[in-house]
Amino acid sequence: MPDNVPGLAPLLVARNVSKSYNRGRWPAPRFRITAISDIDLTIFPQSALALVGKSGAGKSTLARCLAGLEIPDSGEIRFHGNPRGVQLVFQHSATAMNPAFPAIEIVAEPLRIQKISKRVCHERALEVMEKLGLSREWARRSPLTFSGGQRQRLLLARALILNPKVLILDEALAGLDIPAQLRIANSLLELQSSVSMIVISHDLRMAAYLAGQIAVLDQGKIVEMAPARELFSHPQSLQTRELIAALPEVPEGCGNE
Amino acid sequence: MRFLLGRALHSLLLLVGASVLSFVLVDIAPGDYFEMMRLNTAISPSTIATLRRQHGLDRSLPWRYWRWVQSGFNGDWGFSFAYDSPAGPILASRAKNTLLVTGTATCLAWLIALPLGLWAAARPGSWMDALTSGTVSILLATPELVLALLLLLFAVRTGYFPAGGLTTAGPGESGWMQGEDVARHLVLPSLCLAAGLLPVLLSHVRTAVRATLQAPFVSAARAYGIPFRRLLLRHVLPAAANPLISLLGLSLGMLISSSLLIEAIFSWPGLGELMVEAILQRDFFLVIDASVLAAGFFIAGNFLADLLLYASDPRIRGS
Repeated sequence: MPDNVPGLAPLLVARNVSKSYNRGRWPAPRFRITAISDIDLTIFPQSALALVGKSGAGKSTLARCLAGLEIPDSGEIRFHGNPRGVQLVFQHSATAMNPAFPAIEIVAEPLRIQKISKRVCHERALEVMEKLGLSREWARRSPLTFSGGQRQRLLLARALILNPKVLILDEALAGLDIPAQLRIANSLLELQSSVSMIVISHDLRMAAYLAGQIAVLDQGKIVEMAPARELFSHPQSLQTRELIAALPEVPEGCGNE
Repeated sequence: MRFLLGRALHSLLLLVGASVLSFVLVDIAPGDYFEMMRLNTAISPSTIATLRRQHGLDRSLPWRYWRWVQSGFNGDWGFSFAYDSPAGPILASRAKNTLLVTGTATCLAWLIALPLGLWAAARPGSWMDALTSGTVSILLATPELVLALLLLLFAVRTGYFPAGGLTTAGPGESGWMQGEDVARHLVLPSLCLAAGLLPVLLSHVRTAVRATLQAPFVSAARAYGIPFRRLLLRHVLPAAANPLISLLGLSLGMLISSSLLIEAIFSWPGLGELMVEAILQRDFFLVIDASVLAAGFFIAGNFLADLLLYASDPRIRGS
């Protein structure tokens, strides 16, 4: 495994991690689906790793295991520090927060459950929100009145309020329009000086924009891992070549007239 | 605010519609209370005609409807020919008994269904979950009649509970003793009714909570380390509340009309018994009043559910 930031102790290490699920309930036949198998990953401080792959490649399962939401069947995941140091941001911003709470409560909730006074929590929540470009005046509004991009920033704020060491973005930019994606991506790049990121995406270009290192997943295994530039210039595996070939291109002859 | 006004107006219109429909349907049905008197040769046709005129039965339907509405304002709600007194007070005392048993049963069913459903949903596949779904299936498959008869058998064999009626104590007893007596009579009928309501509530609670537990915001909350109890009570339950609130409205709406069979079996002096009697005698104001009351409860229950939904769900308030 290439050490992208040599000399630093690893933050999050996954060794031989496997996870499978039971599917099918009686009377239908039962079978097991292997979501991920024998995954090895090392996350260093202030690094960014992208996980790309087709739907069903096991990206989200890996993310949930790394965040401690699922217990792997075998292998181990080591993270130094409080488990709250790994935070997740999901794709579906509308369902990833409880619609019954106003924006500020959603952002402050991770602190509120830690016996910290309401005033301190809210002050801190407003700080984080402002840093991400969410106005103080929106604090009491319901998240449902926010745009998709603003909601994604809210989710980001909720994750960042805990000062996590590792931030996992599970397709966090999917479903947004391209300018909104770019604006949030730029905010994320600014954050990379203080937090390590795992960016899950099926968009190879966005992955390369956000992360220096890209791992390609297929059928629960890491088939290739390389620095972004290298991956594009010398793809080793069939799956990587497939993903690169699938990138949309401006058709030739377009705009010649 | 417009939502609430709209719902209130809607409810009122429904109630008027229900009462008009009751009047028309009763009017279409052949015969009336005085028709039966003709069989009695001791009463002359002219007496019957006079009685009819006294009660305004020879007038048009709209006139009678209007008089009924007017009498509603002073609490009479028409006139019972069989009891020879205003219908309102007769109905009120019976409705009180019905509400006592159905209210107890509904509270009981909700008090069991809510914690049990939450528990079963929170631990899918546990023995608690299996027990819950088993209970739901068995109760759903058991006809209320069979259950009632089994309970009656139990009462008669063991003598722990009275087998029917509202009271056994004489009028001389103290207030406390009378209350205890009624409570003992209340146990079996309300248990039986609650058992009928329970499977529906239980499976709805479990389904709603389980669906919410799979929402991404629950995963997110678990990732930032929320205690499970806070997750359930502060996040999942409010988010799962919508279908449950509607169901609560529905269960309140059926309070007055759900206990016909149970009242008959346990000879409970409630509205159901009165209504059957009134229909057989064509004592039509009582029939209309009871129908309108049932409709009114139904509408009020749903209106209450709308109010609660409005208060609890920002999505409805926003629109």
